[in-house]
Amino acid sequence: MAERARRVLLLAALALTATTGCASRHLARTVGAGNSEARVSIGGPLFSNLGAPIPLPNVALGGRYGVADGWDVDGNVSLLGAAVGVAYLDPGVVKQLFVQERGAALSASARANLFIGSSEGLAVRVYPEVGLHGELPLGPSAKVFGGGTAWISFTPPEGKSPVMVTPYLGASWRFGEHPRGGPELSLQLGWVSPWMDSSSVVAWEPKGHGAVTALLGLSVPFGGG
Amino acid sequence: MRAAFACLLGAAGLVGLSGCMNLDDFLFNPTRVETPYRFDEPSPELDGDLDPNGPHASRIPRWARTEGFVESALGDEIHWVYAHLPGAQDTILYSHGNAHHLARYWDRVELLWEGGYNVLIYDYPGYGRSSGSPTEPGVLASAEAVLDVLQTLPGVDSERIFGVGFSLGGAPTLHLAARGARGEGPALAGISTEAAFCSIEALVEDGAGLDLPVGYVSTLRFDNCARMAELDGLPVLLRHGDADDFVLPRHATLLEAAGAGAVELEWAVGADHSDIPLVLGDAYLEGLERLSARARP
Repeated sequence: MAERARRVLLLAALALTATTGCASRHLARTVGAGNSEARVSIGGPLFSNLGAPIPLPNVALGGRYGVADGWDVDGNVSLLGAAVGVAYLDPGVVKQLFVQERGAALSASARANLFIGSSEGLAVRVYPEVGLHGELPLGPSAKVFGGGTAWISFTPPEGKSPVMVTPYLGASWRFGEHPRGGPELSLQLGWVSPWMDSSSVVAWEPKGHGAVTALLGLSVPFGGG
Repeated sequence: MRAAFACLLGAAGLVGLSGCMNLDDFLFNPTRVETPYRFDEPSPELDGDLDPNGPHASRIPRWARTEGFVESALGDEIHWVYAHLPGAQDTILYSHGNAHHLARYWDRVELLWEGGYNVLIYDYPGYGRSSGSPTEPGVLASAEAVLDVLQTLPGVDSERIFGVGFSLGGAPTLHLAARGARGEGPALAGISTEAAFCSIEALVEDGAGLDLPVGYVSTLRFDNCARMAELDGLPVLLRHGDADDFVLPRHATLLEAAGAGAVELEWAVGADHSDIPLVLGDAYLEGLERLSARARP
């Protein structure tokens, strides 16, 4: 099969896989009771079916809301998934584990990655995910953040692991005058299961070693200080 | 807060309204040709995978070639080209890969013809000079139509027709074999596939790494593994490159495991997706000779 077919199976598999690196996991600091945050993420796993490696052009919209101090509910929806008729949602919760007012923060998350689409009737897939997220300030506006997520697939395809682990690292810059700071721009790089042989019709990069993900995110806070 | 919910509602609305974008069209890669193929000159459309020097004039002379069209059960006009080798005992129905049209596989036809076989190759609907658009039923119906034609052509022993399919061509090849085994059409004497896949579902699993339903993004199935299970003792030769990073080697083992026929799996060591004949060298034709011998009463 040649180039055009490759592009497609890739798109097929993709919209699906956007999963592993679909939305920003810059979640180390919860937003506080009654506060909220909206965000948009652009990017995903790198693939090279079209030539040079580029991130999957996924756009995810998401947000989180502080249901109590130290507890957020969080979620994203993939627009690329929607474009091919598959609803991809990842509702979850984030628990603050450690926080310094102007210093480090650490949180844990748990979520359900939901795929809803039609395949000879309604077909739903659920993949639980747990994550650990940390951040350190680099100055009044800049931070570095990092962590990892683990996806669980109860019935993985032959030869594939039931757990897909994605360590990630990123940096962010907050600007504006909002009590909790203004909009925040972030860049996140991750690596989905580096030890997994990812050779397939989709030319994930780096070839044969999982997939590196690149995400550009913008979040906007709402609510008090 | 309102803005956040507005964003989420907007996204949810998009999800609800989606589903109109189908990827099936992209799963085929046809090139249409409006004029007759120029077999007797090194025309660009003859640029296959097997000749490192690029296109060459056909090594099968004009006198040995016959072309025609046949209407499939779905109404498509299917273009076929038959290479007749006087004295040949066996005939091959060759189903080509997903790209372009039959002329891009003419070097493979030459290899088989020079190896002692009559060979018929055809284009799927929407490919080359065939009319229509490619669909799964259309591809399978085109194979059925040309099999009927093949039995009427000079030099063809209808008891000695073998199906050979490369990549996507594994699907119509296995379809014809299973159909014959079920008694619903002419029986083939045996089949060989090169770099065939188990199913579209398995291809999507490869790419996603998850057990996501293929129906999320495609109506195509091409369930070759299911067809393998229907062959009822038919001689089968499966070939696959152990370095194929497109249709992964696991597809060959899945096909072998699904087989109900007399299956031989031959690995082309070091071969990728498109170079199995080159890597196997003389063993390529020797494998077909073994298949032919196994088919003899």
